[in-house]
Formats: sequence, structure tokens, C-alpha cells
Amino acid sequence: MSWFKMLARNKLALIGLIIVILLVLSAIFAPLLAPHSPSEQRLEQALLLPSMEFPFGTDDLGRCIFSRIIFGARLSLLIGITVTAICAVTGVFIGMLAGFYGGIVDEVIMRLVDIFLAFPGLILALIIAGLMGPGMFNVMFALALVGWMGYARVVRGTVLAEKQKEFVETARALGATDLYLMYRHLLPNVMAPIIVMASVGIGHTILAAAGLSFLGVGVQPPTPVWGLMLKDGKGFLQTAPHLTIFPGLAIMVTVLAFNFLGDGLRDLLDPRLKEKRIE
Amino acid sequence: MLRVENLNKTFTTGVFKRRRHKAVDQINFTIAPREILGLVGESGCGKSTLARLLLNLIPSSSGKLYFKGQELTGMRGRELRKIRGKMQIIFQHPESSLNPRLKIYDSLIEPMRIQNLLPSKTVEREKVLDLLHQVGLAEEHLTRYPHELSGGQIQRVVLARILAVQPEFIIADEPTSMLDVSVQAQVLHLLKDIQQKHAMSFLFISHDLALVQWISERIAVMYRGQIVEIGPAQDLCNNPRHPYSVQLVETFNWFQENKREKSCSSETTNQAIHAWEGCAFAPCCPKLSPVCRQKPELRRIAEKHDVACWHA
Repeated sequence: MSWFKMLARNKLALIGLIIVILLVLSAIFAPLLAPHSPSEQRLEQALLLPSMEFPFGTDDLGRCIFSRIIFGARLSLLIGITVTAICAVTGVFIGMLAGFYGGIVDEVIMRLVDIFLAFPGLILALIIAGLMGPGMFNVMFALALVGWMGYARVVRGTVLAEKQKEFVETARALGATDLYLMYRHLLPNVMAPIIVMASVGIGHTILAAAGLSFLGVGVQPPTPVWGLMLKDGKGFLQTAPHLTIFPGLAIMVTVLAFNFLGDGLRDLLDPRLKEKRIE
Repeated sequence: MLRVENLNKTFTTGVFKRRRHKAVDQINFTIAPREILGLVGESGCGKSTLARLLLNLIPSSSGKLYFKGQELTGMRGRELRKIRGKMQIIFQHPESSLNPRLKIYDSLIEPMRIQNLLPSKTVEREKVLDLLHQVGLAEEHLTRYPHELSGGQIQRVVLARILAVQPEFIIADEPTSMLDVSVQAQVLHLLKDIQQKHAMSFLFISHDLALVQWISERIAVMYRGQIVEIGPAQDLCNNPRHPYSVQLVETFNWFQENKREKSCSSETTNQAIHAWEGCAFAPCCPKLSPVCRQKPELRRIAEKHDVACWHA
């Protein structure tokens, strides 16, 4: 049975996958899909309710919310995927070193991880982004700095278990170098949990980036970003709630989609469940 | 071929309260070219630790190790990697001996790749097929994954991998203990055939005395990290001299005759054993006497037959 078919058996995972694909497509083809320019202001048409012309209504400056959400997907996905990729690569590298060499290397690295984990992530990111000043790259840097520890821990744990396996010892007895062992025998075996973590992590990163934008240290206006749209709309929460409802929904749907996909991948890649599939 | 002098391995556990455990304690022996030395002992007596020490997979605490006259202890880097091709190990568990993500073909060429013995693409496949035939497997197995093979087949693949680098010394760490009895015999015959054909030395580790007696020329008996008796296989099994060997042989007879007197229960005397200094076996020994407070050394009592016991 193919990889995709197995994923498709899990309805939630399939829904997640479809939404993620739709999001990526709409991000790529945003200029074609959006009915209006995301930054064009029509003050005479401000705060309109959803209609045929403006499917999600307009904001206080008369900008089309639907178009802004579509364009916002670009930046959200870009930040989510890039930051998660940086976190995963860093975490795999550091966790691999700790797990493989053990001893004092492991001790030093894992205490460092503990120190980073002791800070509340979003607040640390807020401070870093605040100190470095607003802007997309600073936000990404801040989020990457607080997001790699989980990956390092998981990789270390997996490597600790895997390096005990006899095929690793056999390869070493054959004269394999450390680098060879890590690359050929350990890395493939840590990829499964990392893929799962990363797919859930993208959702979390998008949420955190939205949070930072909402607090004003993220991407700056007039760039269309979901978090920023929430922030701008909060003054009209009682008079024009659609200003916040739609960007909020966009964030929620995206995060949920990545979570569903991640859960589905977890089931798919879990070796204990693999046995069942073969039967 | 292999000479071991006063080899020790002490494990330390605990961060605040350091506990030391002597897994391998002052071991001396040699293995001649083309010889099969059997190593028997109960679970946890340090057999597998010794195997890993011999291959330098874990560092020894003290002692010296010579392979073909070259000192292995302290050797590292390129030199060590090169010599590792000459000494190989077969492990106990078939299910984790091969990388589950590699097809059999890839597992088979891995040793040659690591040792830089890989021939050109055209003869690579021939070489792999030749290895397969040597261990009695067929071409159809090449495209399979390890979980699609049986335990016996996997041990054959492991053996083929080892043969790929043409080693001169092989450690077999209970290679058949996880296999069915019928398959055990096949694999053992295969091991012996290959040992004779390639004129290799073997260290055959097992807790099954009958098996070791069948395959090896000499047997070493290990107890709590020490070799307590070493001698020609038949001699040792028919006329064991160390009290522990006597018990070991009797236990096997008990399986056949169904009677046994047990002189030492490991549960109740565990503390006494750890507190005891001198002969490691003394707390369980029927011949216990004051002299056992001192640790006995291996001494020659017959031709090629050494025992570490004051009473032997």
C-alpha cells in the first residue's frame, strides 16, 4: 500500500493534508486568487460586512480582508516553514552530538537545553525581537532561538536507544567512522519522529509569529500578516468583529491542519503500528 | 593470533554515590591461529563485555591486548579502523543485527564500502552473490528487508557480511541462542565449515556447555568476570577441576538425568558475594576453606589445562 493511501485512511490527517496543500497553493498564487490588492485603501468602503465583492468584508481602512488573508498566508507559511526547518536542523545536529558522544558532551549540551527550556519561549522571543527591533528576520531569529530544544531532546533520546543496537556496533566493528555511523545508521532512524514534530511545529511557529505580530514586535504594517490583522482589528471588536474573526479563523485552521497532519504522520511512522499494517 | 594480558573492565555508575562494578577481572588467555576457543559462563558473568573489549568497542580499564603481535589497546583512528576489518563479531539478536532500513544487498556491500574493498560496479554484484552462496542464501533474498527474513537467514546474512572483509578472527557472541534448535544446528555447521575453509580463529561464546563442547577445541569457564578454568574441551567436560566448572557440568547432566543439588542460591547470598574478597566463587563453593580468602591465580594442573582454585 502506498504511503499516501495509508495517510488517507486517517480522515483527519487527510483533511489536514488537503488544507495544507490548499494553503501552499493560495500562498503561491496569491496575486491570481485575491480579488483585490491587499494594500489598496478605500476609505469610503471601510468596515463593510462580508458581501459578494468583499467575501470577508473590509477593515477600517477599506482594505479587502479576504485578499489580505490570502497574501498573509505567504508570510505565515514562510515564517512557519523556515523557522521550523532551522529549529529541526539545529536540534538534530545538537541532539545527535549529545546522544552519540554521551558523557561530558551530552551533559553540557543537555544542561544548555535545560537552561533554554527554563525560559518561557514566547516571552524570550518577545524580548529578543524587542531588543533587536521589529522586522521579519528578527522575528524568525527569535523564534528559531527558542524552538530548537524539543528536537534536540527527541533526537538525543532516539540516538541513545539506536546506538545500542547491534547493527551500529557491527558497523563500528567493521571500522566505520563516527560520521558514517551518524549519517548512515542513526540519522535515518531519527527522521520519523522529527518529521512528525516538525509538521506540528510549523503550526506552533505560525501561532507564535502571529502572537509576536499581535504584540507589535513582529512584521510591521502595512504588510498583510494574520497576527497584525488581529491587532489592528481589536479596536473594532464590538462594532466590526469580522476584522478579527477571519484572521483568527485563518490562524486556527492553519494550525489545526498542521496538527492533524502531524498526528497522522505520527501514526504512519510509528514502528509499533507498522507491524499491524503488514499483517 | 590473539593474546590477552591482565585485561580489566570496571564500570562506574551513579553521579553522587559512585558504585563500581568489575565486569571483567584480570583476564589472561591466548587464541592460536585456526583455533576455536569456547567461552562459557552464566548470564551476566561478563562474557559479552569481554567480547566488546577484545574488539576495542569499549575501552578497557587496564591490561593489554595483542592481535597478531600488534598492541590493540590504545590504538585509535585510521590504524584501528583498518585492523578492525580483520576481527569481526556476530551478535546474539538477529532482529537488531541488520539496519532495518537497508535492503540485504546494501547491508552486504556495507562492510566492503567501509573497508574500501569495494570492487568495480560490474563485479560488485558477483562478489555479493558469491558471499550469499557461501552462506547458503539465494539471489532472491537480496532485495528483501531484514524483517522479511527469518532469524536463521539473518544470521547467515550477518556471516556473509563478515566474510566480505575476510577476517582472521571472529567472535561469535551466542550466535544461535535466539534460534530454533533445528536452525541452530545448521548455523553452527555453517560456522564450523567456514572456520575451517578460511582458516580463521574463533571465540565462541555461549552459556550452553554442550554446544561449546561440540564446536570448540578449548573451553574457558568464566565466573563473575574471571576465567576460573581453561583447558581442552573434552578434558574439561569429562574432568572439570574448578568447583564452579563441576557445578556447570553437573547442571548439564541434571538436564539429562533430572537430578541436581543446588549449593548456592543467588538471591540469598548476593550480599555475601559482594562483600567477599578473594576467590569470587568461594561464597557458593562446597569446598570453601580459609585459604579461599585469598584470590587464586590460574595455575597449570595438566597439559594445557589451567584452573584458578586452591583445591584443584
